[in-house]
Amino acid sequence: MQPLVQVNDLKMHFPLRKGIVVQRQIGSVKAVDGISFDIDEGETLGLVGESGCGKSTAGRAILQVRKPTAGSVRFRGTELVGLGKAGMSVYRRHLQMIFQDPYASLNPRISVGEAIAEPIRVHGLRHGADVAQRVRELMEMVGLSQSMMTRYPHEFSGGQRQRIGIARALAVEPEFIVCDEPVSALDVSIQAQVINLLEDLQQRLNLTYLFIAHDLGAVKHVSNRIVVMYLGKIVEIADSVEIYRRPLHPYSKALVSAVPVPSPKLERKRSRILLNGDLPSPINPPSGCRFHTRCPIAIKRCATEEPPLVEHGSKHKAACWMI
Amino acid sequence: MTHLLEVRNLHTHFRTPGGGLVRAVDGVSFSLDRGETLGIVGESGSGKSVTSLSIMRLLSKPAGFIAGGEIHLDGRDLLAMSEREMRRVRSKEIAMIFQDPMTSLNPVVPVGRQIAEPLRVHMRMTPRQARGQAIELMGRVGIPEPHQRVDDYPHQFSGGMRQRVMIAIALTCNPKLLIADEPTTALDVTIQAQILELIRQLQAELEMAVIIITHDLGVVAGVADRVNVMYGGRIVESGPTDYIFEQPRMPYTIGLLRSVPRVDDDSDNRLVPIRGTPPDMGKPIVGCAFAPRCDHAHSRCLDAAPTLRTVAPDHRAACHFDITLDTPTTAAPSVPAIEWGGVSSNP
Repeated sequence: MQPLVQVNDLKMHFPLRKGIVVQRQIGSVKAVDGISFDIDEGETLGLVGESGCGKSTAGRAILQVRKPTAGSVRFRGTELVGLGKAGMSVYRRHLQMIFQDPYASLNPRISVGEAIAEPIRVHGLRHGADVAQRVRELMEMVGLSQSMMTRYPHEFSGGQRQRIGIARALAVEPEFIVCDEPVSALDVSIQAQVINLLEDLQQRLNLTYLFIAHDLGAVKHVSNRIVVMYLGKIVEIADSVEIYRRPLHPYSKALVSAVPVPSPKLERKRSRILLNGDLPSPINPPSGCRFHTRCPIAIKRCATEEPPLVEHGSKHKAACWMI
Repeated sequence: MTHLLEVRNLHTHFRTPGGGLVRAVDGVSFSLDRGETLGIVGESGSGKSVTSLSIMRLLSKPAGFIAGGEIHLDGRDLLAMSEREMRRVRSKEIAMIFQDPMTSLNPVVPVGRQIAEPLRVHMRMTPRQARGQAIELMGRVGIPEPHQRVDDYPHQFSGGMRQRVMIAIALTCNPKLLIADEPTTALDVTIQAQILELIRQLQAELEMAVIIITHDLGVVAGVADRVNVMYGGRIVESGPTDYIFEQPRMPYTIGLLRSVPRVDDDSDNRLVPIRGTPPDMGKPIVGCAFAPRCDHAHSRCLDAAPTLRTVAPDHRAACHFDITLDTPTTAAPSVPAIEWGGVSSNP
């Protein structure tokens, strides 16, 4: 079966310019620097990594929110890179996004019902009175009462606003949704509500998700497979249980060991792999393996040769010379 | 021996521009011993940060004020002190670090001078001594090459390093108590692990007491000796960390523990969320603040607020009933559930 989304050697570089009148490019931020993976239909692929690793940029590049520098993104076999605005508008409907802060993406002067109706009208999916009927349906689907249609964004709590964001994304009947930190801004007790809602909707509507988050517990819970990124590169891809049970890459190991577990007994027994220092700058990333400057097991070769992402067991890939 | 810190029946209120009153902290009592780490857990609006700001007497005036209660540090009542005396306490006895170090650091002053300032003002050190001490402190909190970095500005440091600078400033005067308000929330997990390790290590060396305020149950499980769970401006459960996590007795604590996705859980089970939304603190709360979201609520819960009672040795919970992890949740709650439509802010 053909994967729903195929990402191949995707790159997103942002130019760094200097000068006021004549701007010269003095370098570039390699936010995403050659990533490849497939997402199957109905699957949730988790994308984790620390701030600055390029995970959000990757999500945006896949949806063509910004034109990628290089590489290919195929949706049901069709190449999206280079489609142009007009060509892309056909596919926009099928590819949607849910953001961390739905308040920022809602117009404060437009009622929630109108906000959800807008994409339906823009894409001409319903007409006349059917639009309102569809809005009611969507609100019910995300657990909001229909009576709230006429209310404005500020009248809603954070969790409810995220539900509105989800309803807007669903309004155009998409197949693939990039969820960029969808629960990070929510209170702990509300996060589980939204995660359950996303899972229910996936079942009901046969959705495919790319779930981007820094909360490894949430990502593990919702994802079938997980991609770990470090400084614009993929360091490991594996089944979600596998990556926590048997992480292969030293960075994944450190990441998994650093996540606190809400159990004092387990916390006392766990040993943490503490990494030295901070994330290096993506403007001038380290040579060879990008992780070698912080890696506890790095050898000479790591500083000069970049390790390829290779298979280690079924569906488990990692990029490290020391495995 | 008296406790290092004793908070008795603290009430902290805020006046809203519309003439309303928010009871952000509504009768909180707890104590803390020397060298002990207390975790305060709660969601936004639960009163956890306001409790710590009340201890420091750093509430934004005139909106926020302490409406009642006592706060004793080493037997002295902080609320009875003059502003002058209180400044001494803040400089020499209690230190505080916040979630976002960038907002607490002065962007136009080199970090070394910011660390040296309290040393010069409070410890009467000469500029040269203070600079030397600042470099030593920077090394102690794990900033590499402190000699080179002492003249750098805050924006030249990463988030984790800035938090280390804040900790260095907090340590300048050997505080007896360090209050850390969401110290790692803005940091990545690997950096969070470094900072928590640093706090643990410094605490052991300096025999400080630490109050760590967080919404992350995992953080508390790893560092705290005791835990206060806050909800709706009150402490709803309090006890040694192991009891809170292993034998929670308040439905809210139980609900929180069940709703968090854990990395050590390999099952595909659905999460069990707490339904509804946290209470609107602008409205008076009658009865138990958690009742509208509770699976075990009875009519009694809506009428009378439960007091924090002892449910096991050294373990207190605010619930009318003896609920444990094993109590089956009733399918149909006897209290009408608040629908999603519980609008949180004012129209």
